[in-house]
Amino acid sequence: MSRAATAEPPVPARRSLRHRLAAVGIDRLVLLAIPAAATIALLFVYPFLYGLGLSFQPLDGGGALANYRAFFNDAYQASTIAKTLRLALPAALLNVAVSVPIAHKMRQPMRFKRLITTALILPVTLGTVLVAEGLIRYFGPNGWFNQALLGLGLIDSPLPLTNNYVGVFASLVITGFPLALLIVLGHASGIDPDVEKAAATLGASPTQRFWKVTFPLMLPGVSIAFLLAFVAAFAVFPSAVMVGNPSGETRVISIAAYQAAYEQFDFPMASTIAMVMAAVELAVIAVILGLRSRLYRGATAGGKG
Amino acid sequence: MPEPKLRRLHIEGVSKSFGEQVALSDFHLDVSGGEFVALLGPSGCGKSTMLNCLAGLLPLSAGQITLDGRRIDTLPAERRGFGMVFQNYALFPHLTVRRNVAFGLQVRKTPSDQVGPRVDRALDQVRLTEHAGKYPSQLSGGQQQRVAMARAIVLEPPLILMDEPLSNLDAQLRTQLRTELRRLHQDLGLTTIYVTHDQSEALSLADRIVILRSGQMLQVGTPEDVYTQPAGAYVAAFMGYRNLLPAHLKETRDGRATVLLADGQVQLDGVDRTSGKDGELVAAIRPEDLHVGGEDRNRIPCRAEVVEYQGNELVVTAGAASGLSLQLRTTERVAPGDQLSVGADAARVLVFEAAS
Repeated sequence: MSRAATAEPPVPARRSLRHRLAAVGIDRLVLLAIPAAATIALLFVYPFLYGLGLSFQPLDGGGALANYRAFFNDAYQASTIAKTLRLALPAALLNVAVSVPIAHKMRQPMRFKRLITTALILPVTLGTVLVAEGLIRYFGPNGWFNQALLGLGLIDSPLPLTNNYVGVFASLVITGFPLALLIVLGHASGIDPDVEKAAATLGASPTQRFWKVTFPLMLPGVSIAFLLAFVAAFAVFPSAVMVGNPSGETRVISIAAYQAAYEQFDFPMASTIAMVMAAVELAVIAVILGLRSRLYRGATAGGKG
Repeated sequence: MPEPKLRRLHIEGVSKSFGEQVALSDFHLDVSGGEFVALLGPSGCGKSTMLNCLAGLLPLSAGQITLDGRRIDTLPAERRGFGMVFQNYALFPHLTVRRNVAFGLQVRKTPSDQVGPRVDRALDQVRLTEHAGKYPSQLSGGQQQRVAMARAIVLEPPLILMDEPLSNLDAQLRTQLRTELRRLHQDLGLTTIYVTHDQSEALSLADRIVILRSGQMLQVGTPEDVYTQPAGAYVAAFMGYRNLLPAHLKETRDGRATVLLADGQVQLDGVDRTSGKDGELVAAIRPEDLHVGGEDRNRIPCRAEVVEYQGNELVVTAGAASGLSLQLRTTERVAPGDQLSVGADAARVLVFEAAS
């Protein structure tokens, strides 16, 4: 009996702390993430929480939610949400909608592909101020475009293309499009071209191939491109002032925040507006990601080896 | 075997160039219904180019293709109605197995009450019924390739094109799926054109083999033809003649050629397969046709260098005079360093022009 007992393998000792941590992926390498985590906490999390706290401390009292109540009860302030969405959503949609056919075309062999891509992406390096400046020079009442049309006798008075919705929309398209294209292009180039060839041999016309195969596989990338284009457009500020009508139809939410902070010196109110801005953006992001989670998001190449 | 959907596929003078580079030149082939034809050659020989030209995925540079008298080489891929199976499967990753298989029927506007039963039948034919609801990424490579086959056969196409369908699979799965392919071909009477670089695949599957090299057709024939009667040194090398020994002609008589190897130190008799012109020759011998020992003629003295144990036999690499290297298979006990005398039956030695 006793001999049999000694032949049994010893009961394994409780695993050491180090092994248990390693089993859940924590080892000394994790320490390397500390500087990055600290930077994010210091530069993003802290100011955000500080602003959130500030927004609940209105200058004139009236309870923690007084600023929020004031913002939503004042139509002039609350309407900035709709005005900003009216610019950002269509601009993001247009940027993505134009990117999709271009990216689709770029998947096929073509001449000067690199040159065309570079030309389309290059405007990403332009600042919004530079673009706004250019729009004024080109599309303004005395700009080349209107002068040319007037000179040709096609119009009697300059077309109102700046200092309004059109001007801001144009600037959002110019600055947002390269970003959207870059993302859609990167995602689309990962789709295995044989998948489309297979669809062709199965009898699918070019239109069917696009809508049944290529586009569904592009959608996850397209939705991310839309989100980034939207977030960038929603924070529009310089062009809304320079080529828009900052007291009227392009009084976007960032202008309201700016005025609260630097014209009325009401930092709590400015923080409140910033929080509303974040909430709207997060809501749109949540909707898009929710829709995206219902898509196929796996590998876009055919099968493993 | 069911009646094939096609009577005759006629490929005439098909060429394809990419800029200056000629990928395929003057390809001729007649395929009759129910036939299984393999295009065999190393990569870059033009076999995949031919298949893509047939599928409509590449435009031809010259020539024409007719299917039962109807010219098809100017039709786009989607109007040819062939099934194609790709090396990397090319399944639709965003669709389930069932919807992958139904895809072709749906884009062809097949009445929906027929789609279900036909998809079921195709899935049953490739034994994937229980995986119908899965996505391609949830399947193994072999299963994915079977989905690709189901997707092609569900359309009951007149012609099935296969582009190295087994080369992404491991060796065991490859032989297993090879048998399944042959069974499908027999059961359904599918006319098939099959591209491969694997001679054993071509020999075991095909009714006829086309051997290609640098875009040129070298030989067309039954597996037995190309295996036993290779048209030239290149085809012989592809068909297992591992020993291609540089030789000089001594004399030819009645279809027999006597050649000298290794600077004239060895004399060998073989079957004359030369065209009678002068030039460098090679004597082609399979490793299994070289025998150790014995007293008959056609002997090459050599020394065993590398011996590989293969279970039922040994693979021996041996060196002979003037740097000549031989490979042979034997059941004799041979150790590295042994002096050997190996011989081959003159009927098993083929003498070709070196450039053939």
